[in-house]
Amino acid sequence: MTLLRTLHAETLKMKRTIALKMVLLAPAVIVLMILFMASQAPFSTLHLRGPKNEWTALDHLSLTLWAVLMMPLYITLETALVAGLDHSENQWKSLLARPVPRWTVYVAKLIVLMAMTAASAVVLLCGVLMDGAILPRIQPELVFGFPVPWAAILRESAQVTGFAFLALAIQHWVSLRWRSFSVAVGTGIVAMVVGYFAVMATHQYGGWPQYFPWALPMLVLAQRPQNVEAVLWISSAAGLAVAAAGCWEFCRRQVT
Amino acid sequence: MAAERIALLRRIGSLVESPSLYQHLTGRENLEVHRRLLGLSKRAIDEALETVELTPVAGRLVRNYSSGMKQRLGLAQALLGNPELLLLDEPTNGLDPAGIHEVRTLVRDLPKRCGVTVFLSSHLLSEVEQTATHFAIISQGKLKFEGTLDELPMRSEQTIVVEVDQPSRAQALLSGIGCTVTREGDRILIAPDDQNGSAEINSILVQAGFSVSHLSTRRMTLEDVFLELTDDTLTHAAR
Repeated sequence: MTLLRTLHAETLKMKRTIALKMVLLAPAVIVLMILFMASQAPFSTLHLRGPKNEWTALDHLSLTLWAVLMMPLYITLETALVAGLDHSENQWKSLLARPVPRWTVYVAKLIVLMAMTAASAVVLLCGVLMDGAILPRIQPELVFGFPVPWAAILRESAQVTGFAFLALAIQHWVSLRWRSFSVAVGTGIVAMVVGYFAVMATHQYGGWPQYFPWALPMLVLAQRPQNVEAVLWISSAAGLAVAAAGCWEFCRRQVT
Repeated sequence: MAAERIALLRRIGSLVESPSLYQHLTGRENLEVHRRLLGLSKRAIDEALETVELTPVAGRLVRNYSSGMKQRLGLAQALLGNPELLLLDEPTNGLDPAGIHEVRTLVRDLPKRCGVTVFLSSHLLSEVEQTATHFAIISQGKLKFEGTLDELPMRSEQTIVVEVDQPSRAQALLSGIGCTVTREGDRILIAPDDQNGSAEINSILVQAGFSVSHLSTRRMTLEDVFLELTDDTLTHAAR
């Protein structure tokens, strides 16, 4: 009950924030980027690994651009901005003086971040449908047939979002632990760059680089290993462990 | 322990120096964040806004509030949930004179209007003197005094302030008859004693041929008493 109340309060704090606007803007950039790319080159050349269906191809391309280019940066900025709301103006002294258990504050913020990441994935999915409607006008030879293969598209999108949870939990901890915006963003950017190298070095070092938290979302798209479901569960469990550790530390620390 | 903490916090409201407000939200939305945390009814916000007289501007973004309005909103935030005790630490810090007046008037009226006990901590003693009914003076971790303004030691003593045409000569005359006299610019300050009240001092000066242009009495302020009570040198001498 207290968690619901805290969650309710956290959602109101998001009003008029850049963090909330980014839920729409970040996936919109990918959607527009695909339209731009399609206007510059035949869509067939954009088939990265050439799935058969046009819809799954478009979804795959959108998710790849999302997972590689946008999502790591998105997670970094969202976690830093959400934490920044309470780091600024000494909000903690007022918030933590309320008769509310501290863990609810930590968990409520994490739930808000997860919801915003999932909402962006939904916006991206809507953008895929919109691109599917617009692309045939740019390239008349393209035919997006019906029915849309919802099951495949939704599964891939959910898996990419699910794999982002571990990185999100780590970034959330870092953003709340250090007051400085630079620390949170710096950590995210360094991790993002390392993630790119991890994706490129997938076949080296016994395949371990692909399990780097920031590279995990690419696992679904680039490698499609047999055990993707198992890895998803393990990474989610790791995400929960990080969230629990962060929450434990937050409850015991002198927050200023 | 955690349950006790929550139960205690439910009975306490606080405002430590500047209020913690979300600048991108309106005044009402800022209170709504705390109302949701406390699980109160929506009426609580209207009551708090009414108490601090911010109802007409409640829909405005907080970033457009004056510092006095922000401070009043911080008080409204602290008053949500009708706490029994309100802790205020330097509530007039950084405010302009109008803001200080607004907050002082509001804080003074809170016990009557809301039935709350206000605990105000401040270094601005003139402010405290104008706001509080009961005082405690703490120096180096020790409680030096606790009571009402009238119960303050030396508070009843009144210094006589005189302005005459030849202050140096008048000072010498008064010192000669046993008065403790100091100077404050052109003014002569006469410490109170049993024999010489303001009427007697006036009579002595006029009979000696001085032209008295000003004569008044000055009660010791809270600041004067504070300095007396916390002056280490005096304290040691007294021992």
